[in-house]
Amino acid sequence: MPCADELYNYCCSALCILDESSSHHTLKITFGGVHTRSCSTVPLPSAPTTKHGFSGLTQVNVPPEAPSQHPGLSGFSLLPPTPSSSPAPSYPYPLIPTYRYSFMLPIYSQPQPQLPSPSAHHDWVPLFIGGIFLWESLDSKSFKSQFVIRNGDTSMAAMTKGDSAKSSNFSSLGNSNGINRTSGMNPKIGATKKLIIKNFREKPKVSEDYQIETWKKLKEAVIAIQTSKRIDDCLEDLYKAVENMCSYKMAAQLYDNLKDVIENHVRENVEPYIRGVQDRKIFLKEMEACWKAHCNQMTKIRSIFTYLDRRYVLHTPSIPSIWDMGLELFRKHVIGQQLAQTRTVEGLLMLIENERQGDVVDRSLLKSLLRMLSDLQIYQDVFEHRFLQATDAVYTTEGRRLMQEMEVPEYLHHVEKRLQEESDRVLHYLDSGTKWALIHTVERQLISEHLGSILGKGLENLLDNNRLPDLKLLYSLFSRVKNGLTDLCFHFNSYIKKKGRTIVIDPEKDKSMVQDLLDFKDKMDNIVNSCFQKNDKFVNSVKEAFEHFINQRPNKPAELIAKFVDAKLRLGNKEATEEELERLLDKIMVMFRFIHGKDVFEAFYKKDLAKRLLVGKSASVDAEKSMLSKLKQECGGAFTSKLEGMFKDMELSRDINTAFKQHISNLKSDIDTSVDLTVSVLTMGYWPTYPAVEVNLPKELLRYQEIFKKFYLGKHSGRRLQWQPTLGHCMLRATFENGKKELQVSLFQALVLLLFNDVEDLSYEEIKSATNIEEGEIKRTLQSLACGKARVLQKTPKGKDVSEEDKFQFNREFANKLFRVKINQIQMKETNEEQKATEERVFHDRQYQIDAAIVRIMKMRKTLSHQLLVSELYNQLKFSVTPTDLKKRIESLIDRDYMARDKENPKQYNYVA
Amino acid sequence: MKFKIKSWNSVAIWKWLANDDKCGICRAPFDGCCSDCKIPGDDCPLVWGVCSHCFHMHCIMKWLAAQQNQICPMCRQDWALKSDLP
Amino acid sequence: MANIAIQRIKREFKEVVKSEEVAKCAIRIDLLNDSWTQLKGEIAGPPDTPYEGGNFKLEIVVPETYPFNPPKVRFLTKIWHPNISSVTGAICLDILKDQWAAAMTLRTVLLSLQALLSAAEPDDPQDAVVARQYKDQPSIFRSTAQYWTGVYAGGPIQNSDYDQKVRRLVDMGVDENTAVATLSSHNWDLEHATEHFFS
Repeated sequence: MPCADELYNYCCSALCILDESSSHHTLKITFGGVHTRSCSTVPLPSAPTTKHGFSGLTQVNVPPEAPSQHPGLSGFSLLPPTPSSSPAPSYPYPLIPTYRYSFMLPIYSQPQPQLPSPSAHHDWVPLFIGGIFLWESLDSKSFKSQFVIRNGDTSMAAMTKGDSAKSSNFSSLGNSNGINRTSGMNPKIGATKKLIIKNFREKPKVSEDYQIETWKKLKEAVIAIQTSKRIDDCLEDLYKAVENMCSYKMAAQLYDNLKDVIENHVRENVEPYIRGVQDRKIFLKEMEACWKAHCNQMTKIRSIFTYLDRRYVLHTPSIPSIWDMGLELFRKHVIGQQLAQTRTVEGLLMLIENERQGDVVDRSLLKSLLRMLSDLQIYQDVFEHRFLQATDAVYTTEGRRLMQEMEVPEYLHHVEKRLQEESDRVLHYLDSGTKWALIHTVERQLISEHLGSILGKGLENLLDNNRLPDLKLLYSLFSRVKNGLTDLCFHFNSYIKKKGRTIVIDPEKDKSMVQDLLDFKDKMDNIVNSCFQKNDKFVNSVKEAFEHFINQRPNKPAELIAKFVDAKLRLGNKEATEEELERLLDKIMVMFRFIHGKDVFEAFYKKDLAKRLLVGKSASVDAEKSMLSKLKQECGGAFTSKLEGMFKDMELSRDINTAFKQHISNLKSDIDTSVDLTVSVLTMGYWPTYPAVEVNLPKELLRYQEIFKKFYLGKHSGRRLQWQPTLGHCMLRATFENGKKELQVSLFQALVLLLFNDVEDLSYEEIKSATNIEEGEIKRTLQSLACGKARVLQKTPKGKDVSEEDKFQFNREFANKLFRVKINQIQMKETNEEQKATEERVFHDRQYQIDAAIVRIMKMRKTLSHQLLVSELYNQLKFSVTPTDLKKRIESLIDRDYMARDKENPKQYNYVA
Repeated sequence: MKFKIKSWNSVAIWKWLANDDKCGICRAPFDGCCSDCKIPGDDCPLVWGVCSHCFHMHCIMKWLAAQQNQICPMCRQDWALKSDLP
Repeated sequence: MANIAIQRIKREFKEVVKSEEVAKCAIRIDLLNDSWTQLKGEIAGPPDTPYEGGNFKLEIVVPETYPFNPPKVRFLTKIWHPNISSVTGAICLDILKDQWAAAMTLRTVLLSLQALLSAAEPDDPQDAVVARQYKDQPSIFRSTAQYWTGVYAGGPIQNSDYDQKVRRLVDMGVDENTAVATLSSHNWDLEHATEHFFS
């Protein structure tokens, strides 16, 4: 759109395409420049309720050479200016140059019954074929347009309202302006006609009774409009009459007269009419009808009096525009009446209440009346406040009642439904300004008021049953209200702590603890990810809760996690592919991160790793290394340096054994080289400490061992080797009646079995003294051979346990479907002693750490109360200790004179330097 | 023969043949290594003097470098490396 | 500080803490700073010596080159002993000088000092005055050493005769420590001591 000045200069003609169809509601105005002969199409925004007719218009320039090619301009052609296109001299005081053009003005509308469609484009009906356009520049931002359309012999006037700075108050009914009433004026017009518009010939005269006469004519027209009668005069004449009266300074009088006529009508016709109706619904209907009629009338009246509006009212700030005057009068005499107002508002509230209860109500009635209140600018004062109060009351009761009656998920869905309904309500008939307060009221009464009860009553259940959609809904509803998410997070956190505790605290559930922890973590993570929008607050809360509950039971979770990893890394664990294993290890590391006493984990992990490596039970070196690097990343190099040393020892041993095999093959001696000896040589500090054990080896093994020792010491001078028979294992070739088998056995098992090469029966005592294996070990060994799954030996008397009186016999009929039978699992099993020893080692180390921490703190503080000392210790120590343990260590340090009790205050300690 | 050993995986722990459990100079256990090393074993070996005292090689080198007389820090006898080890 | 020095002091510290001498309260070591260079030692006066019942504090400074060079040790508690300066506390002991060996530790140093208290070496004196008294007037040396132990090291034995003499000098305006030292040097001859001050 060019600016108004440009319009003034160049836009001298316009085409109007009015669309009265309810489905389109577009008003297109096309300007044509005189000199440039360019055309512009300016479609109106399609919204029917637009209050500002010309705002937001877009412009399309059409080249004058081919105007008809423009889609918006098809169906008409622009004629060259007629010679008479000069400012009309007949105007009393021409404000601006007025040009007259003749052209076709097609009106786009739905086929109207009274109009025959002349062409193939039957929805394009050329209706008006002439016009005079007046352009006036008001300011650079807005302009007004008005045009008079002359239609053949029958002249008529119409106006479109432009962007009126003062009276832009179109109601919802406002698009029904004068035009559509005139559409039936000339039913014969069915084809495109061209009409030349000529200058006005008469010069205006002002007779003495001009004012009275003219007003009489105008008043008649107004009354005709008010009583829905035909207007006798041509609308253009009326318009001009107004224009002339204004020009002759009769505007003020005209305005007052007009106001009186309208006020009379409203007071005498509308008001009593409304008062008579009793039934509420009928009342509302009537009210709507009155309002609509009033608006229609006012629109028409205003059309006629447009000039008054623009020339007089606009420049007289103290009086309202004609339209506003109409509203004011309606407000004053109709809705302003207490009774009518109360009945209207209560009727509206009743309808809404009915709708809330599930009835179908006339939404268009509601909408139209609420718009009326808005237009009358009393929506907030008389309606909104009461409506919100009513809403509040309804939902207060409903919330309390449903919290009692419904299960939480059901309740949540109900709340969601309510919120949706209420926002639909805003969409359909309430003023959009009410939305915030309305939704807020619903949220407050249905959610905020019941935060605690919803969480207390329903959260646990939802989480227990993993009801993801409900949890998602819960989150989205709670995120709407203040403190909702904080409370949810708090309850969620408590839930994890409570559930988690039951996983770790019961020793009977130790077997499944780690798997349960992993599953629980997965479940909680899934909920946070899919229902709680991965909210950081919840993510952190999960972490905090896990860390909290997992350390509720000291040490055991760490131990069990280590053992869980062991089980997963062991040979024969076929349940996972490498990728799955890797993922599992990652998850375990997450769990490990929560553990405070990582030393327990390390001790057990190291013990198990040692066994896996030495007994050859590690499933995959890659997986082992991967786990090691994870631990290193998590706890640093110091934590894993010993574990790494173990791997290094294994590598060195491999090299040594290769060299040893080479060495053996070069040795030309009488040794039986059929035994394939492999030795793992360990560096002491890296590995768990193993008790030195002496057993009797068969001569050939002993000799073989010596050969290795000599070989090794030859390569590494200054060393000695200490054999560790508990960790040795063998492959035995065994011959049974059913055939040959290969037995994978521990060294102890092998020693026992080898005894049976010479004899058939041996007593417990004979075996024990021949092998010199320690009592507990020999019993376990014999039990594994004679009472386990693969019974290579038979025991008399039969039984599950081995006693010192038992006798053992070679089982000739031993059978097994496998050729290679593994019976050395006892080596991998952890004995109670081992378990205790590992624990004790950890606790022993911890004592030093506690002592060191106490001395460190006391040295710094010199004097400290017991309470403060203990709390500082809890801050510094990374594992859980009981206060009793701490007390013991403090006592011990007092005994050793590192600190002393204060002489006056026995609860206070002093550092002794 | 009912049973015959086909293969044998044995385990042994190596230790230094030392007459003390820690180095007299750095006072770190011989099972570990001297203060400047990380990996025990051939990277940080022990040496024996004719006086039969042994130290981390790195430690005794530093001691000898700091002294005018090459004496054993334990017994103050003249220091000489023992060549024949057991 | 070199790695080896710190590592060694840490280890020694642990050893001393665990050792039986600590259990018997014969010696102890405390750290004075976090860099492990300044330590405080304490030894108990050995039984059957004039130092019995006293606790003697020592200043120990560990050099950068430890254990290849000896720690620097001196008595903080005043002591009357031929091999220890009665003024500065400096010690004359071969292992703290040329006879040092890397295998020695703070523990062995403290035990050696304890042994030095039991068996002085007047032929290799640090404090010539004390050494002369030790040789010439053994009984006065004994009671003097005992008196010092009582006054400075918390020893149990009192000597009212010496106390009175010290009091006399103090009354004349002499500093108490100076009074004790001067009287000790003059074999508790009050006149000689007074002369020493006022001549």
